[in-house]
Amino acid sequence: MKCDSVGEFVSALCDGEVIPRDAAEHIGTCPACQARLRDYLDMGVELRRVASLESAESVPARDWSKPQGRFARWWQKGWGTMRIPRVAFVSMFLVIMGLAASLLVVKVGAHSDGTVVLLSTMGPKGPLYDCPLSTFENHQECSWFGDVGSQHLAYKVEVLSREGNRVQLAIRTRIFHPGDLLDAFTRDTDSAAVVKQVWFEPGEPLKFDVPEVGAFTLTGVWMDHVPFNMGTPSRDFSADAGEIRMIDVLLLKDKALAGDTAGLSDSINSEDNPNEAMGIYVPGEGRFLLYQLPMKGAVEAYVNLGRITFEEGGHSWEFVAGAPIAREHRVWVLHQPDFKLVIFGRVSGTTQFANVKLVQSSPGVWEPKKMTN
Amino acid sequence: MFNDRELWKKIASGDASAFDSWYQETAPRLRVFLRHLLTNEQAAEDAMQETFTQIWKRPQGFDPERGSLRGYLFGVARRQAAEWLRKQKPANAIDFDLPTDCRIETDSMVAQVFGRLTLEQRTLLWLREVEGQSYDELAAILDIPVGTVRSRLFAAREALRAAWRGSPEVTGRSV
Repeated sequence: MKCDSVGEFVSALCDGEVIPRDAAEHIGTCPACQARLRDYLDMGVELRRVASLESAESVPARDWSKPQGRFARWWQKGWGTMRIPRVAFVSMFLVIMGLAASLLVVKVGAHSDGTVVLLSTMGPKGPLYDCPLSTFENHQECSWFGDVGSQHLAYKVEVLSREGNRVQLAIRTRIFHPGDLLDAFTRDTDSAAVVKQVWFEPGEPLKFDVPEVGAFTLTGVWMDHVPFNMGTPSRDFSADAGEIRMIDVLLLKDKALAGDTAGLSDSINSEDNPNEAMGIYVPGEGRFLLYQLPMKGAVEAYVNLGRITFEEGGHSWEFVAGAPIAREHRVWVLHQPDFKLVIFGRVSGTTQFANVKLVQSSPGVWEPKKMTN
Repeated sequence: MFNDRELWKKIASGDASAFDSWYQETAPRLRVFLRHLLTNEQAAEDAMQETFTQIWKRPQGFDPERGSLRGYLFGVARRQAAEWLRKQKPANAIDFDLPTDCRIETDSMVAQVFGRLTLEQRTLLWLREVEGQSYDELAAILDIPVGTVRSRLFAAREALRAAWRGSPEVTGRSV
């Protein structure tokens, strides 16, 4: 027996697991394996020592009976993940982060359990823009840059929290002059920006003044999904309820391209075929099964419009599709790395869809009906 | 002292006092866990607070039939950490190494090289070695089969050992 094949059992030994007899015998007589075991134990001891030192620090007291003040932390973070090119400001065109320019409104009412609040901003010279913000994830935001009268205005709305039918918003405005840079504003570190923190309830218009510009009115409605429209108000590109739709998909593995359906598209709907999972076969990476419910061995993935992101097997994965994928914010992905799609006796060399039927192996536990590899 | 089910019944019914006791008891260790996952003090504090806020606001997220409350807590925290790391990545980023200027200041070489491991490896090792989570609990937290836990723990230990033994600061030392 070689040390390489015993390594996993050395690790298991550290965890108090019972290991096979021949592995135990080898470890007992092999200096290299014993050194590995000592290192593992030393590392564990050292991590626990460090944790013991740091765990003694107390945590700040919090009042759980009131809404928490997240604004201060939001401000301190100054997270700068968004970057708007300066040319955007120069050109004065409208920018709505992550969304198309016009929106088809599918309301679920001002008093509902919708998860998306669709905000409409009316400026002193007319409507600015509509902005759907999901309350499912933190810190969703929309930005707008353009002219209002004679002023160049930057305007951003961010959802800080939700409490019942109302949302806590951070509204940031800044008047820009020739030569000013947008970078700090987009990173929320612009000390010249005016920041308001307000509670807003869809159905109740909110009025506020922007210095040097005039009066603004914010209105909103709750929706059950993030609406999406490609600029033609009569055509709604949102996925149907219960649908997982993948149009012209790319797969990114650790930010590098791993697969491309090259125009192929597919759709499943749990309301039509509740036992069907979408499968995407990628040569070299196996098959990925997507389903609205947890599957045995699957990981939870986050859906945001045309993207699905998840971590699995020590890698970050991202499906990028040409249109919104689902109304739900979560799907489950089961990666079958050893799967090979065989067509007419030959292993497929192209990325393509390969859906499967699922069965419930036990209540609430789904898995593929039949593995073909 | 309550068991998970009793405690959660109180929390789910809106008992702020019960939740605060649980927060005071578990938050310090959770913050250390997040600190070593994120290697960023402020981010760890934020993620810790967000974790408790999320659990307080969405008590329906915990199912006692699927695992322990402690496991659920660390699972939510891990997702918060992953989300924070995801948002920090520039759009064109390729490597997943953390910036060296946000490494934790500590006299422990093992703790310092710990930050070089992947997020999943850090999660697995910390929860196993420090929090003493079982293979079943780790499988539930990471949404992986129990059988996979053992092999990934081995890979994580090997990665840490290689980073520790291979780090320039260690070379030539008697450790």
